[in-house]
Amino acid sequence: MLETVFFYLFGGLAVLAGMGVVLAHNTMHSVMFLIFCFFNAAGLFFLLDAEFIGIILILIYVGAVMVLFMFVIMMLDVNRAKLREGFLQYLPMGGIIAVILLVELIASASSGVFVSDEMVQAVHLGQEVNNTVEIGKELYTKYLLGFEVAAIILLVALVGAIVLTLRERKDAKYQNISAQVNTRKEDRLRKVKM
Amino acid sequence: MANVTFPFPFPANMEILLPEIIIAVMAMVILLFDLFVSKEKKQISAWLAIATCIAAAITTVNVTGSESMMTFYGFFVQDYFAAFTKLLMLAATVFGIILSLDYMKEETNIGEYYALMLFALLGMMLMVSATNFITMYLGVELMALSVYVLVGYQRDVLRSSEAALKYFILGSLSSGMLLYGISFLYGTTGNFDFNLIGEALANSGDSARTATLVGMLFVLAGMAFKVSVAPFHMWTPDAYEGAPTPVTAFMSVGPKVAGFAILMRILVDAMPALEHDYVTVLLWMAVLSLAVGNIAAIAQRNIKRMMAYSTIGHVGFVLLGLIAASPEGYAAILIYMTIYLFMTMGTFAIIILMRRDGIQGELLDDFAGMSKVRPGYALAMGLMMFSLAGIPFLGGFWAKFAVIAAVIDAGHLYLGLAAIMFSAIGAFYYIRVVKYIYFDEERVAFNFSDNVLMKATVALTSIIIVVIGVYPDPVMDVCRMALAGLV
Amino acid sequence: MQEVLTQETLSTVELLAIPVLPLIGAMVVGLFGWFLKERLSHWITCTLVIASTVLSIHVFIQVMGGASFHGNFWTWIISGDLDIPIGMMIDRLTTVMMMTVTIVSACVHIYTIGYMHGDPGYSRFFSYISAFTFSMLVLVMGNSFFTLFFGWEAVGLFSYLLIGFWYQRETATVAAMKAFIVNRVGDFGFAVGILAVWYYFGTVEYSKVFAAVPALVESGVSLSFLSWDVSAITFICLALFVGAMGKSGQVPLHVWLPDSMEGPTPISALIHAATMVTAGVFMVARLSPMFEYSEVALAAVVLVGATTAWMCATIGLVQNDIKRVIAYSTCSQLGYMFVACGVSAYSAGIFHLMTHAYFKALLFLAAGSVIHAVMAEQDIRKMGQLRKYMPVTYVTMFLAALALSGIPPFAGFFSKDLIIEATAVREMGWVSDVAYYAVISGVFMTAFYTFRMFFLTFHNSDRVPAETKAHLHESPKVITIPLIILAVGAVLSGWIGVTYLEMGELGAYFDGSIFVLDQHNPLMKLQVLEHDHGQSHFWLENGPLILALSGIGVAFLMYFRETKYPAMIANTLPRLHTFLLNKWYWDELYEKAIIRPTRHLGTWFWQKGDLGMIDGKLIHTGIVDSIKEAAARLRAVQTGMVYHYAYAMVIGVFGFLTYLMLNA
Repeated sequence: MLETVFFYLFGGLAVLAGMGVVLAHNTMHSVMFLIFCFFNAAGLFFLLDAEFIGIILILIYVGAVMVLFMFVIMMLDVNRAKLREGFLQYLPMGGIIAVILLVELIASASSGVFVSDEMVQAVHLGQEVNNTVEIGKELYTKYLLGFEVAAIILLVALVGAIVLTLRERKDAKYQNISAQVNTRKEDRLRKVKM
Repeated sequence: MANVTFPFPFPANMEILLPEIIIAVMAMVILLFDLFVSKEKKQISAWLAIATCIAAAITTVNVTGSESMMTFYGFFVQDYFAAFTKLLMLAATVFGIILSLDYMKEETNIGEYYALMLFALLGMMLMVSATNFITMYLGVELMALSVYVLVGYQRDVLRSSEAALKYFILGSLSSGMLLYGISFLYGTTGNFDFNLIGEALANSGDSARTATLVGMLFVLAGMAFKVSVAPFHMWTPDAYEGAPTPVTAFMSVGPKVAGFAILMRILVDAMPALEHDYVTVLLWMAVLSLAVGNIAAIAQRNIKRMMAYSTIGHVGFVLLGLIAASPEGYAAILIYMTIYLFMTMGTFAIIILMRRDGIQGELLDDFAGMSKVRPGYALAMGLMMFSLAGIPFLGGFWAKFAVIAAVIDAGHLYLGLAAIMFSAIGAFYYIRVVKYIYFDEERVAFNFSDNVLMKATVALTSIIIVVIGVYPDPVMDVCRMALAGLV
Repeated sequence: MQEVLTQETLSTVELLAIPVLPLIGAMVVGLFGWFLKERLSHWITCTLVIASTVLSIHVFIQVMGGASFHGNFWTWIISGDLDIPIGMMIDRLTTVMMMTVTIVSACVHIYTIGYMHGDPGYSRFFSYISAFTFSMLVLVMGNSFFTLFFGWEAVGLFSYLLIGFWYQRETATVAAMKAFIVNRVGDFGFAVGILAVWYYFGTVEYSKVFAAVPALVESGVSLSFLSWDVSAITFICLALFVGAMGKSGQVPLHVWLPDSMEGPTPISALIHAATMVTAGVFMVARLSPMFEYSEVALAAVVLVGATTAWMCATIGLVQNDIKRVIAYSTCSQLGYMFVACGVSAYSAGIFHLMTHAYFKALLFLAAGSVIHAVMAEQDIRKMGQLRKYMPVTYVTMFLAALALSGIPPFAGFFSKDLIIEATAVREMGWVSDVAYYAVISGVFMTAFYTFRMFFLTFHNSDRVPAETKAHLHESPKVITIPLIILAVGAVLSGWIGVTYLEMGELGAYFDGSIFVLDQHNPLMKLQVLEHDHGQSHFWLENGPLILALSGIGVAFLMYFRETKYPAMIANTLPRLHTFLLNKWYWDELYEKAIIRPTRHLGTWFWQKGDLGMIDGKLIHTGIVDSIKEAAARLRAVQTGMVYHYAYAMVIGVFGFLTYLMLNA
């Protein structure tokens, strides 16, 4: 009973926070809503006994990613008003579509196996089951291929980010330190016979 | 620490993963290699990448047996179907690298460029060998992420960055849709594995039907984006135009092959129970793609944008094979993809050759009067255009013929007729290029580069489409044989 | 797929090489003529055609010894029930044709070296005639109606291309189109015939069809056409014969053949005298197992042949163009061949075909030699006394003229005599009577117009314009040698045919390849008559010769020297003379009755259909503009804004989902 209450609390707040991200006028507020949303998602993980994932979500997404995000947004001068131009223009049509889609999704999510009585009831595992160990077991055995591929994806993301941002600008002057250090006197001095 | 026992044996049949391992390792080797060579020698990366592809192709052929083999606890499968599509993608990558040699020479960081191409290739290869949504999704993301970066590679060119960003944002949206669909299917069946999902769906009653349909639709929509099916095609023209031309060539073949291959696997393994539903959805997607691709191309003045719409139109044709939902249909898709590979690569090779100092050479007007200066290239371009339009007896004709015959055999006569009609409309803009080449006065000076490999590519692809056009049987037979792993 | 039904010693490779060698030559020279120049062009094609000739003769000898071949090489088309193999049927009928075609073709190839020297289309010409040779060989060697049709259409195509070879001349292009269009009329009938064959027999292979003919006739299948009941076999034969009429220049589809003389002279010799135009005769003979079962079709063949033989001979009497005289003679002689086939003396028809090929090709080539000498002048009124300048041409043409007139022992005598005798003894009621009088009077006219032309050209008074005179000389060796080769054929082929091949004898040479019902066989009756010494057959045996000699005599009187007789006769019968000079007004008739109405209809369709609908509201402003507008709209949708793109995706998902939900 208490679990159900918390589920709807976290779930509902996550949805509200999500809407807040989209609707907030101030970009910083949007980011804050997003952080709030992550917290709620983490709460849902806790309810599922997936404490490790919940904590990781908070640590990494809230602690690292979102902070970085905030820095970026603070450095950019985002003109919210301009971005929101035409919002009203698309609202009627977009709104109708959104509402119908929502109804359809709710209808489908509240049908079939999701509500049937035969649905497998989750059972809380005992204290002795170590969440992290279980994840590790699965991840490093059955899902090893996926794990490796995910690592490569991260590598690609890393390389991609560097390639797209770090490049020598042709119009900027900069020091070539290794060239400076490695230079010899023959390169610079020319003996002239007088 | 808890005493962890190792519940799984060491994965068997690891050798079937060898092509992928070669590519992953070599991609990283190229990344490192690039750091330690002088600027003049950076082109070696390209040759390394080509060698990697060839090595991977050879190993692919060697590790594939007539039986389909699994490794990593059924997460990865290697069969004729996977092998054939992998060979197509390897060919596309080799062509892409050859087309890049001159084009990317002036760019910095070309080592990373070729490494990213290999990573994209790796993603695609994982996709076609996927047996479940996890491997598939990871493959999709690996491919997509690499291609995003490749599209935006010319950061100094505004349209390149813009295209990459658009592609990235919309790609994320589509990935979201894909994941959403997968989660619904997981919710109703409790599985990621295609075959197990298929069994579960076949046994599930009506109660789960709506949820399953949502799952199916979102998975289809997510994949439809990757293969630029209308109405999820909007990114295509911008990305094609903005991307460096070799990347455009690469992404108009490789990801399409991978996308359709994995769609075939999903539909055959996971969704036979939903055949009626996915056929209805695909039917509308096909009609929309055919209409959008063939009609919108008429209004384009930039040949890369035109080729983007052309791709959309062709994807519409390929969808006919999925709609047929028969072995003939799937074989037709492979035939289509094989022939499309050569047509596209040949066309883009010529487009790249058009680039010269300060001029991109991408406007249709730039082709005016080419026949008088470079009759050989003009002939090749003419062949490509006629083949893309599906004029007998060139390869493109048989590609279209195969899918249309399959879809009519499956009972969708009107769809077949519609496809023929759109093909006729589409012939207009292909043949218009020929008109520019042969019947207009030249307006610009043509000074094509003398890169032997580019010339060879143009010649090879032209010859192949003519040969396939005259004698298509061997290709068709190979494609039918490749289906052995699928159905 | 190689399915060999019967084969005795004939080599498949050799058989395939015969048509393929000229094809290779045609392709090489056609594609690379710009590179090969004149010398290599004629070397390549001539060598290959001569090789093909040698092989043909080799096959001919083997077949004489009893070998034959009938088999399929590969499958051309499989579509449902329709299975069209490509194969060959080599028997005595085929080999006679093959040998005739290749020998004449080889002579013409060599002749062309001299005749076309310096022409800008030199390589093209060689390519065409080699390709023509290939097509003609396919036509005769094939074993099914489809190979026949392929060859039939291909020779038609090359005939068209070669008549219009000098495409800068308007008359040449008009003549080429005329030939093509008139042939289309015939080919329509031909195609209907072939489809009917497939419909009734379910196969297009000769052997299977022939085997099934008696059963079809027994079953009495008939079809009614415009309230006229015809049996199926009659319908098929008549339809096929329409094709033969078109190709072989028979009345009323003969109008193209004289006009085809616009083409270079070697072509007139090869295509419009010796080979292509005889395809119709060959077809009737080849299909003798079918024609034999249809009295109506046979009667039609006889009537058409006799009419043509007589009518074209009358026209030939007054023509002044040297090539036209020979062309009308060709029509007339083809009429003789058809008469022979119609009276079931197929072997006589083929015999005449063979002898005619030699002497008519010779006549044409000799005429070409003359034309070459007098600077492309074709009017015999502007020639005369040429024998002094060109002795070889003179002698060879004389031999050819004798052969054509039917003077023994030259080739034409044997074959023509046989046809006339066969016509005389065959009993077909009034039909054979008419035919007999037509062909026998034709003999006189043939001799007359041939020698009229000959005397006017080589004797009579010297009417050659002064500026041409300086140019007069005998033609070079490449021209005279083929003349001599063909002259040998013109002199000897008839005698050889009778003596060694026994073509005139009952069921001797063509037994097995030509089928004749006993009750029809005129040769059988002739044999009976020969052994019956009680009766006198003087007129039957010697009538043609007497008429031919008198024809030559009259021509000698009127034209050997310049006399007043021709003008006198023309003045006494001005109407008849004009009527004949204008070729019985066939062209004018067609102009008024067919061409003008058709042109009016075409103009109407052009104005209303093309300009009114296609360029107008229906297609141009209708479909095309709406597609353009759709393209512009789709382009406008592509705004470049990411949120529009995302919006489209969401709408897509929404649309599909709603659709699925409503249908679920």
